[in-house]
Amino acid sequence: METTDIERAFLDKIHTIQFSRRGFVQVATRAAVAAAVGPFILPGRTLAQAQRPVVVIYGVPWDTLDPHNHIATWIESITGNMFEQPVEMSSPIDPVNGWRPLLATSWKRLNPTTMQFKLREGVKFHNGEEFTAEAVKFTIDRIHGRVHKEFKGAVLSYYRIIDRADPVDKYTVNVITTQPDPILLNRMSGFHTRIVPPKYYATNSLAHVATNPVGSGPYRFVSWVKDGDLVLEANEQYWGGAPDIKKVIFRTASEPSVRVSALLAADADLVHAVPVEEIDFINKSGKAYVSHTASNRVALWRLERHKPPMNNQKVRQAMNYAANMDGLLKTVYGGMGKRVSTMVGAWHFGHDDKIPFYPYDPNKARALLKESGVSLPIQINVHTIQGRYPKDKDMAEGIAAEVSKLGKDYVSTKVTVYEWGTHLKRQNACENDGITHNSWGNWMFDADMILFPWLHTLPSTDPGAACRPAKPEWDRLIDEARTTLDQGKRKKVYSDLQRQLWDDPPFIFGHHVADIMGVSSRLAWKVRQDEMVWLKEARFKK
Amino acid sequence: MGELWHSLRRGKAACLGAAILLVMVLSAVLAPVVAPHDPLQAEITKRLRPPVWREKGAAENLLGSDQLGRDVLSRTIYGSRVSLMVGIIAVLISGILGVVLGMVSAFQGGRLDALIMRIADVQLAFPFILLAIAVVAVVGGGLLNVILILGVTGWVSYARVVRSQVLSVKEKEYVEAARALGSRSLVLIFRQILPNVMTPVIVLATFNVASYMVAEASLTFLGLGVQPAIPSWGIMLADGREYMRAGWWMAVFPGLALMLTVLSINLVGDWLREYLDPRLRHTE
Repeated sequence: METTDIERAFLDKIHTIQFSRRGFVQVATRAAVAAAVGPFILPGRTLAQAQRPVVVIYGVPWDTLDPHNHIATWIESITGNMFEQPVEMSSPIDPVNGWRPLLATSWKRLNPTTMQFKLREGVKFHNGEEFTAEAVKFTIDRIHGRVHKEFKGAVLSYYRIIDRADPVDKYTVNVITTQPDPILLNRMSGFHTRIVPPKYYATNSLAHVATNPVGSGPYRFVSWVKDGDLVLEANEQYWGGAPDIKKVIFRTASEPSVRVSALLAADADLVHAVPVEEIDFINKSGKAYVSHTASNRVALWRLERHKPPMNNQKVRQAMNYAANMDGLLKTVYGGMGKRVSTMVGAWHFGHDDKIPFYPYDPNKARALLKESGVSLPIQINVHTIQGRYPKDKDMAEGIAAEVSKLGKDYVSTKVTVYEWGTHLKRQNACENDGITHNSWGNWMFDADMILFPWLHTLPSTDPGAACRPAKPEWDRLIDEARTTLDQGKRKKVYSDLQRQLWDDPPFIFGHHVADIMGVSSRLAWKVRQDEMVWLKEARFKK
Repeated sequence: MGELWHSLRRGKAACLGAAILLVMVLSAVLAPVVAPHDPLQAEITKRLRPPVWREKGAAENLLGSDQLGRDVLSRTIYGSRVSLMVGIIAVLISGILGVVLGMVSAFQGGRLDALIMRIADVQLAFPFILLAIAVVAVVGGGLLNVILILGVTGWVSYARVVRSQVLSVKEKEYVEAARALGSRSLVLIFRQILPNVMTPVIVLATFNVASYMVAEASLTFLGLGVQPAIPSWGIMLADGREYMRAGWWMAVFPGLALMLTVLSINLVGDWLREYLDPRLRHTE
């Protein structure tokens, strides 16, 4: 950076100053007065810009900054500040009318398998490469492993249907699917279609780009120490206008109490997953406030139907009657979250609000256990994690406690807590019996996004794929809904399927997970429904 | 016995320690009788209820309730079972292992002695928590595994103490005399040597019961020990850390119980050390 004339004159002056003792006292006094009075007389805007970087603290670390090669929502959130995709979703979520242009300015369906996107002109990646239709084509090729043969993208089932992207001209691209895809627009809003600069991502190794990301978003990458700070700075050339916040630091603190303390000590500005019990305390502190919503993530407890006793339909129904989900949400969950009647979230396409919630009915649960023909009492193991999502272990323990209330003649429960890696490994190996904690962030805002990966028998890399229910009728309905463009028909198919799920529950149906963020008083920011923390939406308070 | 009782009564600190320990042991043994509630019984509508003397407290939960509405007093009482059981069984395992290896090392000498002592050196150089994490990663957590980890890793101090004691005792005149009279090795060990090396072992064991209880709580606190269904002080401390503002009693009471038990064992251990050491006893 070049030194300006004014700065040079200032430095010269500094170098020539010689302090006498009286002079030193005068300078020190003026400095002290300036420090004390300055904040009251400087314009807020100037002051805000002079303030320290905004610090965001998550509870879990990230192991890559590759926008396409992960399945973690917080990596999607963090990288979403550096990368952009063609389309984005509004918050609150509206899967019918909520689509907003991002790198695409408009779109139209040309035929059942082709959608044409007009792209934003004049956008540049952070390394100077120009954003064109070629970048979209390159990105689609990359997620399919056509650029780097060793690239094995996560959760292939989400984008396998996209065959290719054909550039029509510099700023027009046709996206072709292998079959009619009713949710192609949804896919073009996801993290797999975040557009990367072709030259940079083609010429550098996967390991290099995973730690040195280059996108076109409102923030550019500065530095990252693994398990340490990730530093971003504002992209002053951002097409949507330079962000208000100029420097952002992402870091990790696994303990919720540490995150809250950092927020109140002004060491952090946005902290993730604040405990429900801390909300009042933070709001009354005068130093920060809490912004919360029922998020896009659905928590549900899988009934391991490949092993006894959950291979019995009546036992699975009994678990739903006994779990007392309303009671747990009201108490353990602090009244946060929002119940889900089956697996499809309240605002996701395909949700049917005529399907009721399982009521809390312990007598019905006991009757079902008696009718089930299983030898009573049954032993139920509850497998859970701790600290990854709000109240994950507490809710698992709560469910176990509620089920135990059926009585010792009916059931006994045992809760086991696993570290996340072990939890995933056990699910993939179908080792669990009983009840397993799960949650799913439905970033396509569509029933397909949760029903296909959790119920369809098509082999995939999703957790627990090998021990899915394997019901041909469910496969048929899921396939039918994902290959027709008739949204009315899709809605009906999903309603039919959810009624079947209610009757033959593969899960204890849960709730939308609460997203509870602590926000420093110096920031104006509102939590999004889709779990994303996008700093371009934050402002320093005037 | 009379001398032991007389000595205990003379030491006020030891008396206090013994009284606290007695209460803890009795509450552990009689937990089903003295605990007012089932420690696993959750009542979510009564969650985070403060202790009885605080506003909104209730006599039903004298020391308050936890995040699932379980009674903190009952869980603390049942928690003493886990802590004492882990401490005592782990000490028995490590004590027996250490005494046997220390004896063998001192008696056999030579390469076997060198081998056992080098293994001991290596284990001493290895941080306990790191070793425990590595073992738990391989064999998994749980109450039994925690006991085994503590028991198997704790033998070194016993082996070293016993070895040095045996090396000294086996040269004593009465041992020489017994040998000259034709005593076989096993008889020599059990009749002449073992009783004379047990004093430091007993003292060491009392202190280790306390340190193993803390170690169990630490491992459980880190998520490596006892699983949530079993009420233990470590679990209660781990759960309580998330509720320090909203439910301080969840961590304070099990923490207090752990502190008092460890303190009482140490006080009794101190007294035992003095009582069993003839030099200290005679200077009183």
